[in-house]
Amino acid sequence: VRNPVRTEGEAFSWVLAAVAVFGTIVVGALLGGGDVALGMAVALVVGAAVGIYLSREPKEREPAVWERGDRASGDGS
Amino acid sequence: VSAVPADAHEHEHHGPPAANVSSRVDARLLGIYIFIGSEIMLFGSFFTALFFARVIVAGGTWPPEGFHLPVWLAFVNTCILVTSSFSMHWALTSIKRNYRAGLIAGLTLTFLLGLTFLLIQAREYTRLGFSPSENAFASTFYALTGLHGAHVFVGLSLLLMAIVRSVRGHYGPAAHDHLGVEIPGIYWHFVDVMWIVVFTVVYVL
Repeated sequence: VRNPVRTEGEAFSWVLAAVAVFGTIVVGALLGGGDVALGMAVALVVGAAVGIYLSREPKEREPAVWERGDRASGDGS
Repeated sequence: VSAVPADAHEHEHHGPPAANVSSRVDARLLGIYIFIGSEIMLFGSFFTALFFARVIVAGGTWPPEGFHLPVWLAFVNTCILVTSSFSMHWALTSIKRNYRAGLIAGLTLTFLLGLTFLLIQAREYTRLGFSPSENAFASTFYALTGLHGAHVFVGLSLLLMAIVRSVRGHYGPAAHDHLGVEIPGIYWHFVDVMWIVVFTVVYVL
């Protein structure tokens, strides 16, 4: 699975996603009560986790450290 | 055979040899990932305590009779913290465009919004009318919100250092020149996401 928080920009997108997901749960709680909100919370969180797992799979497998050759030269870049 | 004289490298390099790098991720970024991973587990344990107290210990009514939380005040605080994530993102976008005034303004705004959040939370504590020792509800409420407040304080400290460094001109548009903003930014967004979860679970559900 690809690291979903490689940059600050990606971390910011997590904030937006959290607002969307938990905002929906809060609206569900206000309209339908605690049980409806709990059901929505479980469904949304599980759905989001599965979606991330399926969509973020990298196209190319990252080479192992011992296969990288001169890229692991220790310059930190 | 190298054309460079054998002693040339000795004159170029001073100090100990460079550390071996076995990961494609920068060591400082890797550090914040591991730290955030441990933080998620820490918050997870506090949430577990809350759910245990709510489902197993309390059983029925939650919050217990006579206990009320200021939901709308917490909602306003949530909006403040979410807004601070936007200003944080603006700050980093600015330095990537070499717009230093935007960086300083964004970081300062983020700091002030975070400080406002913390002060409102402190004021809320003084008006709640119950203490952590009263029952399981009060204990878990203060534990979760207090733990988060401590993280906001740490984030504010990081932001303050980033503001000082940005005023001194330490950051640049290249990726390796603004890690000192990027890493506090990732941490700040984590604190923000965690509050959204805390608000939903503690105040709404």
